[in-house]
Amino acid sequence: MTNQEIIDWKIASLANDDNSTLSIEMKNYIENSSQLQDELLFIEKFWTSDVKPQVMPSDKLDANFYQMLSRAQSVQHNSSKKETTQHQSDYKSTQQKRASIFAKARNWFIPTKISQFATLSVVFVLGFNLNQAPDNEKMNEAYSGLKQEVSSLTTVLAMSMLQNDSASERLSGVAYSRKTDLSNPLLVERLIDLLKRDKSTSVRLAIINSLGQLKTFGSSEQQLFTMATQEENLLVQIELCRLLLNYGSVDIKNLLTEQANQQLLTPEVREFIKAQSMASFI
Amino acid sequence: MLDENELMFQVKAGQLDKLATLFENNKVKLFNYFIRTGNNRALSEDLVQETFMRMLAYRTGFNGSGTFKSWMYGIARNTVADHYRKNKNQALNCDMENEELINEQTLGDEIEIEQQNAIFNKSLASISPQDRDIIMLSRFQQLNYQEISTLLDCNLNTLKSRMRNAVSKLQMSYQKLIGENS
Repeated sequence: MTNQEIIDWKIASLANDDNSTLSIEMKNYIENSSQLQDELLFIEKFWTSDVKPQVMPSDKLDANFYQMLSRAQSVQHNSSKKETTQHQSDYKSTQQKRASIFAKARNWFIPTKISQFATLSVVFVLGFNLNQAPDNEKMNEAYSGLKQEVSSLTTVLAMSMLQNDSASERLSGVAYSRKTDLSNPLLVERLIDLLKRDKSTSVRLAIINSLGQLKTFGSSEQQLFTMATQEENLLVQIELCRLLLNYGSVDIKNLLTEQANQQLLTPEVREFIKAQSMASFI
Repeated sequence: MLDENELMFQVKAGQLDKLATLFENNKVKLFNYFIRTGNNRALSEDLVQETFMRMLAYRTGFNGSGTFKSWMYGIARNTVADHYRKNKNQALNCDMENEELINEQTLGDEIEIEQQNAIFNKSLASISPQDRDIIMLSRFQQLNYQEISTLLDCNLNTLKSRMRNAVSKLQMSYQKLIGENS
């Protein structure tokens, strides 16, 4: 018999983990040790006293949990729906392919089809030979030149519209900028500048939407990150976070998640980033 | 009624709504666990939320080798450890340590109990987090020795000896505080 054994028994019995009663041998052992008696008394006092009543969490915890659960369920639902649709379309296309291969093979041997095929072949050979003419290269050059000119004209038009006082004109400017595939760095710079200071939320949201075309943000990424963390307009801030989480570099995504974890962002934005991370995780 | 292990297996199988039952059964206990480990209310709520989010994300890792409770507290402990690792500069907002002792003379049972509770809280706050954790898991979260040993990944005998050591430190601290207060 040791002190350790008796203390183990005491704690286990207080924690309802051991229902055995104290044996005579144990009782005698305890009676002979005043230090052990003190220890047991203390343990009993501590285990049976109500050190602190249970504190109830707020309703916010419930709200947040059920919001998270419903998001997870919708993500699960969407992904299973996608899988089913994918399976169905795969099955359909395989069936269609099978059917169409047989039908095509049968059609090839119909006499009228053979004559049609011969005519088409002649037209194709003639057309191919005519297109080999040296003038065609010049035409191609002229066409791509014209295309470039149109693109630069659209860029100029977009840039001038972005400077307009009317918000609807600026919105049109953003729409024009989308037509240029944002290859002009000056135009991108102008858009980001406008995103920083424009008073109209619609214009700013349209710009963020357009910037999604870029796929990579290069040197502008840090600027967009700063904006995303300091933005006061919640809607714009969330859209900026979405843009960076979808198209930003891994480093920027990590930085943004870190900001959310360190509670440096508003609860709504933190919630959004968590949900996005969870959606990608699930 | 299904036991919690069974419910967690259903969550693992894709019945995410079953997590709501587990949440309702455990939210208060988990919240109080975080409060008792020295976190404020707002942070404790965030930690409960984060724990359940991780349970959802890591649901495939639940294999039922231990009880659901020990698995859940394992995630909860990692959640709080990760939080403080990420926020190194953020000191533990220790409600227990800040609790004022009542310096009035003992006038009735209520005050005596309150006084004693305050000293217990102070004693708990004064011992090492590792010792405090073992005592709290047994005393307040009502985990049995087997569950705690699974959670802490140690054998039963080691756990018993650690528990005795922790209780002895708690008693020393308690007696010291009683001496200071009398």
